[in-house]
Amino acid sequence: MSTNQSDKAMQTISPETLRAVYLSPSECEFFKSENGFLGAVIGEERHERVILARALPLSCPDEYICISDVERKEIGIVEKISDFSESQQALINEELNHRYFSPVITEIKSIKEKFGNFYFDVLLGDLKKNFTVKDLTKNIRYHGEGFDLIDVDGNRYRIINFSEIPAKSRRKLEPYLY
Amino acid sequence: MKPSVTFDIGPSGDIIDGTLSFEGGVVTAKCGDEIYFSASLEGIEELVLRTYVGCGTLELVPENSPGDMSKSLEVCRFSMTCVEPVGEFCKVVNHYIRTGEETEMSTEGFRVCPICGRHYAKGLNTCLFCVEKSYLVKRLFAISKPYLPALFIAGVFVALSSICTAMLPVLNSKLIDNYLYNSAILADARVKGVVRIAVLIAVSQILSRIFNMISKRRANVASGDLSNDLRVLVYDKVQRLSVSSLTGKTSGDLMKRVSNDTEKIKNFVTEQGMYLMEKVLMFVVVLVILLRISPLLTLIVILPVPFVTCAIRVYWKWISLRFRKQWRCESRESSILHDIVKGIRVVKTFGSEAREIKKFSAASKKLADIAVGNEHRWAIVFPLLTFFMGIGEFFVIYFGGRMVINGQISIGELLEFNLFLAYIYQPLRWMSSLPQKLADLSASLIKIFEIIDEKHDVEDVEDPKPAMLDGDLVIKDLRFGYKAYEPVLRDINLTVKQGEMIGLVGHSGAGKSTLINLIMRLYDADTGSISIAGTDIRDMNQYEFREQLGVVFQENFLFAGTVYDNIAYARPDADPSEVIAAAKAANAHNFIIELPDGYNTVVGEDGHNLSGGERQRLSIARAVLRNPAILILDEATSALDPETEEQIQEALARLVKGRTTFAIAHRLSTLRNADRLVVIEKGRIVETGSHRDLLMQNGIYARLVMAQRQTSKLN
Repeated sequence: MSTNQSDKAMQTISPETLRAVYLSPSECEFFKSENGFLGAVIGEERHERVILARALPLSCPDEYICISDVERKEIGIVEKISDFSESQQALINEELNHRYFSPVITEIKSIKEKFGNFYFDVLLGDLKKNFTVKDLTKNIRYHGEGFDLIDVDGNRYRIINFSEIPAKSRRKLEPYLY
Repeated sequence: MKPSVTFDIGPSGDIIDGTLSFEGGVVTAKCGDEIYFSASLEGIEELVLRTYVGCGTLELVPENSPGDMSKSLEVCRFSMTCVEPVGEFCKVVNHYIRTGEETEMSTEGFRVCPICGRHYAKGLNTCLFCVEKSYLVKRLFAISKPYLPALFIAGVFVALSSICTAMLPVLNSKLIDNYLYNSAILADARVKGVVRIAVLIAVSQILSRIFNMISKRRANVASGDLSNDLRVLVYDKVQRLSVSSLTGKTSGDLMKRVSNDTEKIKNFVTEQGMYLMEKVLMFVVVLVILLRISPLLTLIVILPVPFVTCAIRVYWKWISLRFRKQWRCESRESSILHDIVKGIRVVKTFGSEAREIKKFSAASKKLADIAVGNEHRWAIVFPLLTFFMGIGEFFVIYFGGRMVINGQISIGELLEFNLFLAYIYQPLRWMSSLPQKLADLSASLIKIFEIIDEKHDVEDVEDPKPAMLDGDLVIKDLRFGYKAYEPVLRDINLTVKQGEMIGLVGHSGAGKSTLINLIMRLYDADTGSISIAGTDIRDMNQYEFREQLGVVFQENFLFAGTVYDNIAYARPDADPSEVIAAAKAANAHNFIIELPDGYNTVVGEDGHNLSGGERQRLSIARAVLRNPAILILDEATSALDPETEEQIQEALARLVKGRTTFAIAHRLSTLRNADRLVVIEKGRIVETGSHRDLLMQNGIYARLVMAQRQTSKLN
């Protein structure tokens, strides 16, 4: 479909459906509220507490950040975090880190398979950690050069770049990847 | 004991060992001696648990807090490992806030293995990481106990059969040494000897076959019984599982457990169990015979076996990882294929055939590359290993030949020795493959035990009261959440008079269906109660209680069978006149008699031979026939055209008359016959009254009505 055709097609959809509001840094300013929550002034309106959610957490973690109130009513979307000033970026990233928790695996000590469960012994930096993944194929989320492993409790453990973890660790996990 | 749980994320996102406690109306979060948070519950409305991605937070919400929750106070942050205990902690604290009573925390559902510290899987009493194979074998032994005598007899006969077969080398040795190469006796005597040996060989072979037949027959009977009993045991348990347990499992998974896993267990018990006796016995007998012929030759044969067995195990461990990758790719390829074939219309209408072909080709190529690599490795290494396993045979020829030439053993004995080699390698190979077979069996055993051991969420009390439902239904201070930390219903109080019809109204996800589930006792409330005629429904026998309920859903399941069977499912002892009466009351009779086979029409799998309206009327007929004390209508008339809906409304009006009824409908006009409407919003009852009263209140209900009027005008 050409751009013109596409535009025409979009025009036929009701404006209500297309009401995704993309916010530029000039329209949106974040602040930290008295109780430590992220707030935002969007246009003329001041929101004492907002929630940020990544629309594409795996493919574009720093783009398309949805801003909503605690009732999950969407206020707007930030297209790129990098468009904002450094201090604003720090506030956005702090809130996103608060909402998305996935400790980074630096080394895989062992993977044992027992009765369909995979028991991982890993290092998260200096910290030893063990966790269990049920049905490994279904609980890997690939992104960029790495992936997230989701354990039976719903925790996520991230390998940022699979080629950069020790070769021994790679050999242990490699047979389970596509 | 003061309620206390652990939390594991510090303020800057680092992993810590924190403790969250509650004592004397104060909630404290600390790590070691450092207090992160401490606050009194004075002036606090609620403790709220919020879950995010891989973590959650606990927040104190002050009384009269603004709707944006900006005045809340974050108590602590934790990973999902802590979410269940923290949820339980939250429940205890909220109970204190509401009532001032301090209660103990329940540890059910988040027990930790004392050996490895990992959480037990839901519904299991065993840590799957620490469980030993011997534990499983013991339990398998307990399950198979009734069939063991039959299997033992089968084992004895199979061993006898093998011994008869093993007579062949011995007799051949005698034939060669005593008659064919023995010139010391007369030719006549040698011929007679040959005949005698021939007869003995024939008899031993016939006996071997007979013993084998007897063994097979005994084993088949035992395996049939074991297979049947196992399937029934698991199926029975599946039927009795609570709805919350069943929602965590797919129908395919449950079907596999009932048929495939029970079959694997049966095969192991009947085949490997029987062979165990045969193989061990054969190994011992043959070893004794070989040692008797020549201890040196026996040592030569046995010596490489442990090394080669170890090599096979190491190789298997290595190659199995590669085969695992191949299976993974196979599964990915077939799932792509399944997707494309199932969604072929979408692919064609979007003109994306080329893209899909490319996607499938890439998956197929990857699979082919891995498969070729694996086959190469397998083809090269495995023959080598089996060669080394039998390398002793070459040494036997060399050393045995020398011993024959030196007169240390006879030709017959060497032949006997060579023939027996096969008998000794066979049990050894079987034994070396046993760990792999045990590992396969363990996976099936665990899945079966997971079902058998699963605790019921909805248990009957000891000595339950008879379910008498002739009275008012009273819901008092009810709170419930499918997850302990996410309440779906809060502070529900409602009294429903016997015979009253209640319409439940609210947005999607407000908690209407959850309330219905609790009234049907598919789940038990976390706190509060539902009682009928003064008796708490938890004190009633749940099966007897549900026998007096009638339910009509939006999508009603029809079983494979006839129209008659499906209506009579509600009351199998009903006679045809009652079934016809029920069908008439449900406005179903007319369409049924139009069918060529009338009430004997086979409805097909899930009733696909019938239209949505027809299926709905059959399910209403089912409910009519049941004559329930309490009737539940969950979106019973949605997704129907206006004419069909009119007929179904008419049928429902007959059914509802004089019965306590709860009806959920998004189309509010369908609740016009309700005596009272109850509006639920975010898990709370926010409005109650007649249609007119609620319109006057100009609240949520009035807004819903207005919104629907607007939509119908637009349509």
